[in-house]
Amino acid sequence: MNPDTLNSEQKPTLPASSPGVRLLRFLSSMPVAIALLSLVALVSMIGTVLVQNRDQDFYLSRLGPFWYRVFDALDFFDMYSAWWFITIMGLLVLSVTAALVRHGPRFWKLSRPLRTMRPWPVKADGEFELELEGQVAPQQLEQLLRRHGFREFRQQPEGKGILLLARKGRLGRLGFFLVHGAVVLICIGGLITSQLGFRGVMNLAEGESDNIVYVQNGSEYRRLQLPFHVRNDNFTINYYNTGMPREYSSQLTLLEDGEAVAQKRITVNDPLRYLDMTFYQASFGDAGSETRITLRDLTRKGFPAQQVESAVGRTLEEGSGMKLELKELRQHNIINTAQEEDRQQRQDAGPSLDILYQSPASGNITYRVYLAYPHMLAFVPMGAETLTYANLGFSPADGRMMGLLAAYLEAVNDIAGEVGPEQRRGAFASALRRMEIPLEHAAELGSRIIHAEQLLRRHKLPMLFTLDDFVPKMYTGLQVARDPGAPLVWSACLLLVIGLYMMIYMHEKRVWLRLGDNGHRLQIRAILSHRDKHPLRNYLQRLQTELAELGQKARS
Amino acid sequence: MSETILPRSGPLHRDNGITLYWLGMLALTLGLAGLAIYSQLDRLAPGTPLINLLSYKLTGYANVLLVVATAIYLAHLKFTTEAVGKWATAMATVGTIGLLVALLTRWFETHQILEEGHVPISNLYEVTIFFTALTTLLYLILESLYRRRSVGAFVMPIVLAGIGFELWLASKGQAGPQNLVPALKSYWMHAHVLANFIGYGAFAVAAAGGVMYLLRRRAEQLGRSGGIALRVLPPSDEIDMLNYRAIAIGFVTFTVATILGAAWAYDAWGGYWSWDPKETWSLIVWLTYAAYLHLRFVKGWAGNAMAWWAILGFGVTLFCFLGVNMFLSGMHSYGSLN
Ligand code: HEM
Repeated sequence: MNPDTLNSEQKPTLPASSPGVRLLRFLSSMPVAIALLSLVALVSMIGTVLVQNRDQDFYLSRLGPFWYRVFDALDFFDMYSAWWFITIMGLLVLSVTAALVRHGPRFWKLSRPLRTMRPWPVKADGEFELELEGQVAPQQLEQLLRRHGFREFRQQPEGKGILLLARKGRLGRLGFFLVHGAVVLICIGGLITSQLGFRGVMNLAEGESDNIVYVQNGSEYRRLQLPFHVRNDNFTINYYNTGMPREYSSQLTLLEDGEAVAQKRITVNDPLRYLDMTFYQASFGDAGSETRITLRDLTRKGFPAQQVESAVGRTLEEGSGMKLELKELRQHNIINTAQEEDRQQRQDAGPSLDILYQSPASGNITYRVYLAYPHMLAFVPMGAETLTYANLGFSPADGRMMGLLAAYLEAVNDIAGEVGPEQRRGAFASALRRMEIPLEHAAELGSRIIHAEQLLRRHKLPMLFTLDDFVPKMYTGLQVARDPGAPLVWSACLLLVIGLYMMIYMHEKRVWLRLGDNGHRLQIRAILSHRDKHPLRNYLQRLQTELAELGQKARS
Repeated sequence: MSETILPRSGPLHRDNGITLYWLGMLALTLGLAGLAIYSQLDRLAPGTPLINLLSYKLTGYANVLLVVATAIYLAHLKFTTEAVGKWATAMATVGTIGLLVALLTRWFETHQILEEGHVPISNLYEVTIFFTALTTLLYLILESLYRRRSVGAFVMPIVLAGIGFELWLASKGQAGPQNLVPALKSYWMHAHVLANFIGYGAFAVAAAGGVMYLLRRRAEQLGRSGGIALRVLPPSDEIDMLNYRAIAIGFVTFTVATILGAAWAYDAWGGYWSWDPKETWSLIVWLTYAAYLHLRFVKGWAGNAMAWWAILGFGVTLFCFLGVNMFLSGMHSYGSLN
């Protein structure tokens, strides 16, 4: 394969007959290597285009039943652990191994120290001849070459003159072992990890401890029991002023038989390692923050209020078929209050709670209730996607105003016949009386009530909420991994980089110098192990100048 | 007559002059960045709009210089005088230094206008600037070694495309400094991105070389001795060698980059390899160039086939850099277009 072997008899000479040898040759042949490299590249693409490891519905809805069955049969949904993919990778590893076996001995020999003189090469990668002005001794040549980094020398008399061989960079030959060995080791490391390791998730609320890890297996999860408990002592998170999480961390304690064996505050990018396992800060979420809310039922007489204590994630049900789901508690709601487009002026509207209201009569409505702005109504009406905002003018928890509103609407409803401005005024006056509110506030209250009435009529909201108080309770999402292949992989990566550098940049050079004519004539031939011969040419040009200078100095 | 200033085989000496020159440029860049930062010391308040940032203006000026440099490099194909060439080199050099100064300034600015500063290679806009700066820089270093200005006419259009993409991102409001998600705050990530973009830059230079090679060979086959390609392009075996050298540099740095990326993933997500689309595509890029090296050094391929391989390889690289973020989903959120 490589033309510049030291001697022709060192070319790989394998008996062609044996089938094992033929297989070795086939596997290590370049067409096979290139085909495998290309094949791995090509099939890897499939998994990047087709999202991996989702559930059946996801694929069925996207692909339809026919292609779903085809792709499923081909293991396309979890292709990187499919038998055929592993087989291709295995073949690649075999091929590299075969190359190591086949070419290894030769490269090994080439990297051995120079024992004997090698004859003047018939063909060289570069050569020149030089008439020296003064007489130069072999020792002087050797000295000069030493300065160039040559360390191995052999010389022998040749006719009246002398033949000198100098060599450097022999270890560069070992790059082949390092690179290809590393490829094999990395794949073995990956195999060890996939067979003996695991990677799972574990969600722990503050104060909670557990020893069960959920490990994804295709699109399913299996439970795995750790030999110790993990406790989340405390979880903290802080946010940028844009409301984006800035940093989150958990104080973890590992407990073996109730005794703490390891402890650390982990953050993203800084995990806890214990024995052969690692605990990563991966995510976080609401573990059922406690909330106190007030509901106002606008479908009942007098708009009765009800205080409810519950937790995020829970669902409240009523006999009438009405359901309330406490969906999500947000601690920050950042809004841009800048007037101009390009400026950013952020303001935090504070915590909010999303409540999903479901009832047979009114359908689904999602409310967003702000702690600090109870009079702001924010809701996603039936069939819509985005929030509608409206200012009620007062808090739904405000008993006096809500009562007045209810009394007024009732009075209006009681009117028989035509409802004109006169009648409304009358209804409002009777509502005031019923609520025992002095008449002097009538004008101001009147406009607020009218505004609220129109608003509720327009949006047909069946219920109003306020968020009165909450106690956040978060869980920390841990990624738990055991990766027994990792040390091997990291060492191999190091070897790979060193080996690549050696293969590409550390070239073995051999230079023969034939000193004749009483030290006045030099004939040089050189061989470079690498196929990029250009560096050698430059090198020889430099050598030529320096040798000529050496001759000049010898004369003077 | 092709430009032959040095013998046709590359650097003659380990030229101390060239090393000194680039060290000087490095000092100049750092000095200018120091000045730029000093001028901004008390002038930035949180939330300063992008268009008021010095780095943004500097990037703009530097881009103009690079566009002009591209034009001169192209003109130099026809007007091959040293004077024209010097202008091209000067413009490109000043432009690159401008971009690097702008990035260093932006580094400081992020600390002033965001709650938490970051190395400015954290979103697509920033890495695109970084890509244009590094590609030009790599080319200029090669130019100072090999004295081949005609290469510039082929590398600079790639840089130009990068600038176009960067402007498009800016027009989409993606140019402002943004807060980092926690996963991006990692030293591994900085080293990873740095190495990656040296790799990308080297592959870009190799692709430019591939185009040059094909043009030169075509001209040789057509035998039009007066043709522009024959007149200005270096001999084809030399372009062929340039291709290899660029890919060799790229392959080593890209390997390092991928390993650093795996190390980062190992610390952030608990696994060095997850077959995430970005990871998988960097494997594909790596395999593409590994195949290139084998074809070249074991099969002994050279010339046309390798030139095409370098060009298509860069296509794969581009997809890994941009396509994955634009068309596929994964956890490399920093580059996502939203
Ligand atoms: C698929 C099986 C593989 C086989 C059979 C194989 C075999 C070989 C052989 C025989 C050489 C020639 C060494 C020489 O003559 O100096 C070589 C060189 C090389 N191989 Fe592989 N190899 C394989 C896979 C890989 C892979 C996956 C990589 C990835 C990095 C790789 C990287 C290299 C490099 C960088 C060179 C040196 C090219 C140069 O001289 O610059 N090989 N390989």
